[in-house]
Amino acid sequence: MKLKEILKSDIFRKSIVKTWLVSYVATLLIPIVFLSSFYFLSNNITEKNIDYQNELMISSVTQNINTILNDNTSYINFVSHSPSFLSCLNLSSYSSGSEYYTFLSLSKEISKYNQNIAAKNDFYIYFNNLDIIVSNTGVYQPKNYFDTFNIDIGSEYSDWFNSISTGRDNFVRLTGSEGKSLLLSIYRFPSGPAQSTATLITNINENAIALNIQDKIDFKYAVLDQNERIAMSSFNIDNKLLETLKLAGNEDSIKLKDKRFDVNTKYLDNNYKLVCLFEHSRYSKNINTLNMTCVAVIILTALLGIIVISRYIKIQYSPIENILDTLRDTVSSDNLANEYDVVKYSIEKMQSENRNATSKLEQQNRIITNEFLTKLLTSSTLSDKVIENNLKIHNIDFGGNGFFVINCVVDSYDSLFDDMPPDTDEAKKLDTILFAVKNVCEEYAKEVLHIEIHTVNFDSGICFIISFPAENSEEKYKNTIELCEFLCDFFEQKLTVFLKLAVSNSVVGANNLSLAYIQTKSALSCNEHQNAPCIVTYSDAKQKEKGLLAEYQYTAEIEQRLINFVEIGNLDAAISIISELFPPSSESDVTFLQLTKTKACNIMSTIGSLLDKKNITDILPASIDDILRRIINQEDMEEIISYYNRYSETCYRKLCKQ
Amino acid sequence: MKKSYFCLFAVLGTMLFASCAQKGDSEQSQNEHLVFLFQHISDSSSIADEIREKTGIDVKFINYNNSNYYPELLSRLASSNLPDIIAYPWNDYPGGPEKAISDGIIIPLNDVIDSYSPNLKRYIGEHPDIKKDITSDNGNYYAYPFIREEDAMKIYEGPFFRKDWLDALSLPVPETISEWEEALTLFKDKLGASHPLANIITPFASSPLAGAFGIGNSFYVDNGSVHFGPYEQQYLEYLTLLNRWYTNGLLGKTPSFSGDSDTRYKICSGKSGAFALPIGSGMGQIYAYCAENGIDIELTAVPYPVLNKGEVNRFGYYDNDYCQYAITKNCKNIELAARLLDYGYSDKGMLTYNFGTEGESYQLKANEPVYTDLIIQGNQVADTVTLRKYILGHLSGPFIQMRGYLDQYFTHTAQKEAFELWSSQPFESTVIPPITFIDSEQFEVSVFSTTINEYVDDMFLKFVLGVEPLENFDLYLKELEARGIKRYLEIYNNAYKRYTMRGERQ
Repeated sequence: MKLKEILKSDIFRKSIVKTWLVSYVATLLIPIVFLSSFYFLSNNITEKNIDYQNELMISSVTQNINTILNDNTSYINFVSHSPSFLSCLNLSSYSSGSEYYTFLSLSKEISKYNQNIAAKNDFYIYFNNLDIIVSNTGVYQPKNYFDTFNIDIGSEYSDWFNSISTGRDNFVRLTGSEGKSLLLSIYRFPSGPAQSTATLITNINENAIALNIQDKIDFKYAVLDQNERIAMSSFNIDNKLLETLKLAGNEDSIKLKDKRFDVNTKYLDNNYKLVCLFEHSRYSKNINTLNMTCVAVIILTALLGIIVISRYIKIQYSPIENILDTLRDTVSSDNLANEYDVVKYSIEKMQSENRNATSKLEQQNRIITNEFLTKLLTSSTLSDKVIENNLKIHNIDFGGNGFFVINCVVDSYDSLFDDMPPDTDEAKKLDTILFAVKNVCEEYAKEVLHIEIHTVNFDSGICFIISFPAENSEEKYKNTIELCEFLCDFFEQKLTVFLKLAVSNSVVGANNLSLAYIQTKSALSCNEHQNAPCIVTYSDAKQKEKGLLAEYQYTAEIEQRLINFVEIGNLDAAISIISELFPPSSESDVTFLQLTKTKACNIMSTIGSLLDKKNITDILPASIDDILRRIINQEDMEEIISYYNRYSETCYRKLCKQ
Repeated sequence: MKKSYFCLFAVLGTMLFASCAQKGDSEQSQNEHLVFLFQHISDSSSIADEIREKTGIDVKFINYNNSNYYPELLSRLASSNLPDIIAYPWNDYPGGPEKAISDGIIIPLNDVIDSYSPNLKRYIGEHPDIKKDITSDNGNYYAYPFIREEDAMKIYEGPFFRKDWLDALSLPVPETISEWEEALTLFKDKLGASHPLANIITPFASSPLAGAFGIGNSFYVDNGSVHFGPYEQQYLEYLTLLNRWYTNGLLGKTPSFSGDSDTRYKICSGKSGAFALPIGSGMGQIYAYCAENGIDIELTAVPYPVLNKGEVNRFGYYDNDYCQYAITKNCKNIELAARLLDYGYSDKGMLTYNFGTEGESYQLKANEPVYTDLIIQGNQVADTVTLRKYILGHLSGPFIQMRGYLDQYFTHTAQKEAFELWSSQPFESTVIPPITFIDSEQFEVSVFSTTINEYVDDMFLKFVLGVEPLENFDLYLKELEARGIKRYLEIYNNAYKRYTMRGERQ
């Protein structure tokens, strides 16, 4: 399923995408939480810092204004106690040298005083009666002084002169050109003995009040005197605003020209009231800047985090998506927890299927191998090349060129299955016994005798191919006989199963195994009478046949010739051999009858093999087994031969046609 | 996808950079950052930018207005909060420049100049005579000097008369004291001048008049030793002259003894016809004020007066202030500071300091720098505030002041004539050179400078104004002796002797 589909469907609930997403988002939340904490913390610190800065500024302004007020007081005290000043007050003119010297002496005193206290403000004395000014730099007529020192602000002489000549105890602001202004502190001394009066004027250096503050922020201040009149201010104040300032307290805010200002008030020396106005936007601007920055960083972090997360999930999910696509047809993920479970389930299922397939394959291999070995035993027509190829294909290594074949049939086993139900299938019982024989035989051969053995299963019996280097035939013959004896003894004694084992002569080459097999069959045929031994070798059976029934020989060579004639389609030659096998006879003893049955059965078996080989199934009225069974059950010699001839000739004709 | 990753990292990188790149406000010097406490350059001025650009040195200039500069400077000297470079008259430092070095305020510059100031080193090599003036008694370089391209440029102040008044009265340019007196009398009598002579310079400042009597107004050098004018017998003649002039109303009823603060007013308002002022700022301001207010006056420089024609007045204004610009002990990058200070002695640096920025405050015409209208328009020089934004030629600093600056800065004929008139005067022979007092002398000097100077100052007024009879001059001299004038002179002579030996030590 595609990632997009998963995100939209209910599967998302149990998908690993959800797990990843939760993990990544949790990780992303860590910096966001930190950033948020930082935001609140810095906000708080900024507020405190601004408050602290405000306090510092107010403190600085307060100190500066107090200094001005105190300096003013000092100036007044200094001048009041100056001998030169008092002398000047007593003078009615300054025309004589000594009078002028007195004024110059006052000027020098002021100059010296200024130097000693490092005065920040210029002050001078206007002697009203004499209309002259004495400052630290000399003695001047008012117009001279004004032109020399006050010209910078561009104020009117008359305004200034009126202020200094009529002012008493107040602050006066002179407005000049280009927005310049000059704040004057004016103090009128009490009249002297000669009724002369003098006025102390101080040019207040307002720059020093809010030095370095107004450059940085929009800061305004106003100082109200004891009578709540404006003593100093850094801005124009009308009556309405003055009323507001009179009532203003801390934490208030007022609006000036569409700007909001936070108010801080403080009482100064002499009971003056300082009102400081801080532009509110300065506070809010800093906070807003901080807020915006923090929020932007958080959003950006979240945004970038989401992009990175989605990208990584996509990258990481891509191979899983491909795997799931591959598994889509084989696994239903409906009941599974997540994608990993689907993969796990698929792998387990594949492993199981692989095991089954391997098992079946091995079984098939065994069957095919058995088929090949069966063919090797029953057919003499396989070429060496075919045999060699098939041995390679079936991974069979005989380990030598010499062979013995043991043909094993079960003679009786009645007592073995006494514990089983009576209706148990006989074939099944037989298979069980043959299975046991196979295993015991193989184990004994390999573990005890150390000989190479291969097993070939037949319907009614089992054959063992003992292979060995051809030069060891005598030793292996002994081993083979020992093996047979062991089998007989073992099954007879342990399982009360009686076996009949036929051992072929030694043959060289795998293409002669069919001959060895026929030898075992011949040997078994000869060993079917009562009280026959468990083991019979082909050489023994042949000796016996030679002695008793020389003219009724049916040898493997004859059978091979018969097969060959059928293979090449020579019907007459095949019928001639059959006729030779069953010549007319008057003897009717039991041995001869049994031999005839055996011959007939053998030839019918050969015919059966040929039919199987040719895949011919529909020419006989019954199966080969049924025909054999009928032959065996016949007690009349003529009937046997007739019966045999009827079927065999039919078969040969058909086979020859093929 | 690569593009999107690039964008992602670019954004993150930018954020990281932005968070880190906060500019500090501290004045503390960094490796490549200098702080220069200098009264004449504002950090935001054009010339500051030009210096930074031309030197490639990130220097922050701290300046205060004149009234605050020295308090701030003294406050910094008292603390450890020193900038990298500081402008200060180190000869005035208690104990002199050597004491400033031993106090850990500034560093000796011998090796520094030798290694990092090739332009100044070259100039000293070409003008070995200045070496004595810019080293301490021990032969240490302690500050970078302000050098004038020609010695004549050290004389930029002197006496002027209203030429239109002289012409109106058919008077020649006065040369002798009697011609001065005649002219001033006629100004009062014929032209109604209430203060015919606008300013009388007090002792301890230059005066065009005292020299006529063969003495200086304060300490001066004569015949290889230091003298004190107010302690000389000729001083009585000088006082007698001023007393007579005051009595005759030639100084006005309220004569100004304290400098030139109201001189402009008196001249422009027709109250005075003679005065003493600097050629540039003094005369320039009078011309500017008159032009602004529609006042038509004509001025002319007159020779420093003598008693008899043919004599030479050897006592006049002569500025020999040299070294102010020192590297402090706090400077972390001495080489950088030395290279910054050395810039003013290079050809490009001289142009920068004297003329400012090319294309803005000056243009090159026929390979010669010419001020733009921003600085000089017609014969009007821009106001001092404007000038200080762009140039430093009219002030001082660690550079060589060019003659070319003067030729343009003096826009009026009277200014040029004044310069030509006074520049040939032998004032250098009598002026006190840059002497320094050793630590043990410093305290006595500071005491004498109060007790003696104040007394002389006060007595000067009394004698001139007639408060004290001139007959008491001998008592005045005795009082000076009682106050230690001889020891005072001895200290000065010792300092002068050390100065004269500087060359021999080197």
